[in-house]
Amino acid sequence: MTRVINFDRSFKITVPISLAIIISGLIGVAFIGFRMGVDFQAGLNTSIQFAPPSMVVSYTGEGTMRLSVAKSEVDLISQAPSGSSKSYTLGFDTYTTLQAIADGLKAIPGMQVDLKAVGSAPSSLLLGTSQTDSSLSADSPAILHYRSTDLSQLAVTVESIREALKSFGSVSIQRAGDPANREFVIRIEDSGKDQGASQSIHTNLVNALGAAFGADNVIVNSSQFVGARFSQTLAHQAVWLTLLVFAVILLYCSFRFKPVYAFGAVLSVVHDALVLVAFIVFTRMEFNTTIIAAILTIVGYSINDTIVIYDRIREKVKLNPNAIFRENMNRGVTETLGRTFITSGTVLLSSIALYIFTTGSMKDFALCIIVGVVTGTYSSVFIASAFVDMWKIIEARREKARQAGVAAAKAAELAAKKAGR
Amino acid sequence: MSKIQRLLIVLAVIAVAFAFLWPTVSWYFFTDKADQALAVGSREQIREYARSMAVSDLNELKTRAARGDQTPLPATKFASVLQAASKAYKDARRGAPKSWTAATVLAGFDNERAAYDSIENVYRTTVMNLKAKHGKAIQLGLDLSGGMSVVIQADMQALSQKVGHTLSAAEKDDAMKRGIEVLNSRIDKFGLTEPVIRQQGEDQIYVEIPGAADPERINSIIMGKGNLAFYIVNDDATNKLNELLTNNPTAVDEKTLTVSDPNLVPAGYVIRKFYKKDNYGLDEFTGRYMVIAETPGLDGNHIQSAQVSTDPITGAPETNFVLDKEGGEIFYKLTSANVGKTLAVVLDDHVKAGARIQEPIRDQVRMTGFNQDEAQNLALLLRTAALPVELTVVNQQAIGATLGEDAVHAGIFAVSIAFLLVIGFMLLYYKGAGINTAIAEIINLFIMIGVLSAFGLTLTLPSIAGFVLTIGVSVDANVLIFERIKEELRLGKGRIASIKAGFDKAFWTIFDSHLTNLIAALFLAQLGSGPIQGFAVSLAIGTICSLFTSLFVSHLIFDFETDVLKLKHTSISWRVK
Repeated sequence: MTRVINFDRSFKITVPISLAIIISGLIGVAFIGFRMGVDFQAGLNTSIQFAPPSMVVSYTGEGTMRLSVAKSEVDLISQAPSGSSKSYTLGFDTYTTLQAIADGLKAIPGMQVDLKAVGSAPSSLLLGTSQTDSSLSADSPAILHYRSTDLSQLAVTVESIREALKSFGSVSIQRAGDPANREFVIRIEDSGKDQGASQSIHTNLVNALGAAFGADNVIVNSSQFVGARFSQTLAHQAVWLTLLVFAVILLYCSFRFKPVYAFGAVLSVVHDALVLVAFIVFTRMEFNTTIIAAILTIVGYSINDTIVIYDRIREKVKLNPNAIFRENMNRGVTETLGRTFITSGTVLLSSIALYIFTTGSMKDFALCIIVGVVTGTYSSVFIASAFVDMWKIIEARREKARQAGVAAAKAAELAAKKAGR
Repeated sequence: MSKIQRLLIVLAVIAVAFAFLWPTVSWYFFTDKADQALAVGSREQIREYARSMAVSDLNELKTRAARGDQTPLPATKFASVLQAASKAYKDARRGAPKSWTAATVLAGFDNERAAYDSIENVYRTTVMNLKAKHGKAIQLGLDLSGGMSVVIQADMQALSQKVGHTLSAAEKDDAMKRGIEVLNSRIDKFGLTEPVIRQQGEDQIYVEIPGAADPERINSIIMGKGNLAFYIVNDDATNKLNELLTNNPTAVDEKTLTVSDPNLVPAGYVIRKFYKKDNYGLDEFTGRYMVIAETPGLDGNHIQSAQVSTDPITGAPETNFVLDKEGGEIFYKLTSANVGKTLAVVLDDHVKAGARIQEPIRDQVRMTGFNQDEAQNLALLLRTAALPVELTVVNQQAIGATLGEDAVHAGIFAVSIAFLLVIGFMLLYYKGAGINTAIAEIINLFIMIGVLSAFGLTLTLPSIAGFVLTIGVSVDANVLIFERIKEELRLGKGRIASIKAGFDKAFWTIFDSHLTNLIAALFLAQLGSGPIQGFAVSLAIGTICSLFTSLFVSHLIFDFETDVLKLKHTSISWRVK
């Protein structure tokens, strides 16, 4: 048998550290507050890209023609009035320049192409169309934008956008990614007074940007509007659900183990949630639904971890009912330590993969999971067991006191009897 | 349970998972792009496609037959025609002709209309089958496919103020149905992809339009209250029009709703399409048209209430509605002048019902001639005007298609890397037993996607994250078992005994920990809409699947190694032999 590690000794250090982190986190929430994401803040959140048109494409043939630009090709699907359809694909590896793409498009019957950019520019600069189903016709041509590498051609800065959007009140503008992409995240708050805000803000925004930078240069990559009522409902729901999860876990663990274990488990889970909250507050990470999902995931993961350890401690208690709890606890935690590390390791491996290969909110999510797995593992070992241990010590003391009391009473009785005799 | 039984169960589960997965595979990998574009379109578009294909085929058949062309029809171009023709010959209990020429094909049908109908039917069925396949395949969420979604809030407070009391659950439900009804009638104006409209929670409606990412376009669906009105039908012109359509199925231009013959529709009248509810509660064009007055005879806002009752004598269902005083006067004048004609109920240019005016009517109206469902639908329709529901957009999201494409690639890449990392680690650490994990995890992933497909769930970016995490977490069960087996081996037990003890001892731990994890995931699934739900559901499915694969599949692999490969030792660690 391997050496048993005396985990109880470290409780004196770990418990205060945890408390310090949690309390500072709570103070942070109270005084600094979360950086609320768009889910919790009424308004419009858009991702806008500025790019000059490379060519204007229209279709004067019969039937309909749909065009979409994907990552490495231009796709077209035509549908003749008789119903028969045909698809064309122009891959960027064969059509390497914009000129080649334009020529390739012209070769398709009924297509008209007006090249606006330098023909020798590589076709890989073409930006994907934001709509999968842009249908072409003579009176509604499609504009294919491209990522112009010449920064002076279309100079857009946060300041110039702010200038264009002066009339909008509270506006937040952030540059996203490489400056050559000219991509910005623009958020406009909604006062909630206008019923049709979801429509009007968006239209006004696009018009204002179009007026300042040229209507053909503005691409809306994504937009999200959140109404005031929606964000409130979501926040309430999130809080209630989290509390409900705690309650159900408490019930189930009380049923499967003893109530003291259940309290320890919930305590460790609450600990993880709060440490994560501290992390989110101090890293100024945007707080949105994805982050709530991350917190609840960690709740699930941590409870899983705690139960595995409890299970082993319970087994040890059954095997050595006479040993003091602390000994059984140390043995149980030590025996499951290998498993604890390996499992946390595999979850860490997958969340690190997620962190590296995704972007945006998923990256934040992965980061929360990484932090959560670490604290979850730590809390299962140090917090959940420490609580049960503390409880057992108090229980033992009370028992001692009770026994002492009983003994004292007995002694007194004896003395009384003696005296009476 | 014997090992054979267990093997059969595992094989059965895999087979079922595969069956559920098949539509997904066949849709995304084996369906032509052009066919895909067709199948995701609205029903109306598919109808239009089938119509025009059938007409062009029929015209070509006629010219060939008139030429006396004796060459057999090309099999690929006329596949649908040949299919329709051979069915016609079969139904008529006639032997198939020696060669399928234009003449023999046409001879198979009673008349031209029959030929048109059955050819159109073949085309439509083919696309509808494809559409059904798409319905069964895993749907990509908006964040992966691009498109837009809107959450619309019904203002119950305003409604309750209007009726003057707090709304009961049934009244709220009815109000939601009315809201959805109004949105539904505007769907197919929309075009290229079919939107999803469904109730969400108690008082919200969720609308999703895949593909399109232009917020302007959503306006036409959600703005306004829905315009219900009664129109007088020109029965004479309607009959003539339908007669014309019998001979010339494409006489009506679908876009402008006009016919080439200007004498057919008198001035002051317009052609409108007649709709019925399909099995999904969506509006479906019946193929019939009505010629109705251009101006409404009575506006729907005069309706005060509407319900369904049964005729006390015949027991037939009927729809009753009450008009306000002014409406009663207008309706009396209208019906007095038009006794014997048909009255159409029209919502946003869709004719929803028609009934003959028997006698002049004032404010108490009774409409008969429907079955129970139709009567219910009509009453609901009339209530949309009586008690309009205020709808406001509370959440709207539009995502460009390219962003989605990038996300799919990143997601698939992350899943694969996570998978390889975890499996690689398990093989390194647990040696031979790592193979069990690898096989169990592959089956796990496979079943998970199968289940996702079976429930018709939507694959979103967060649900991909759910998969990635599940890979990490579900290894846990394997780790627990392997560690137990190692302990037993250390105690000096043999392979069979160690494996059995390992699984037995780990069982309750795994069960408890998975169950609590599942509880958290299921609660998470209740939160909000869309993305988090997708994540939580995939986490929940993953937890259940991992319970199955770790306890069942992994055990079976150990047994297989013992019984079939006759392994004596257990390759599970570098230190324990």
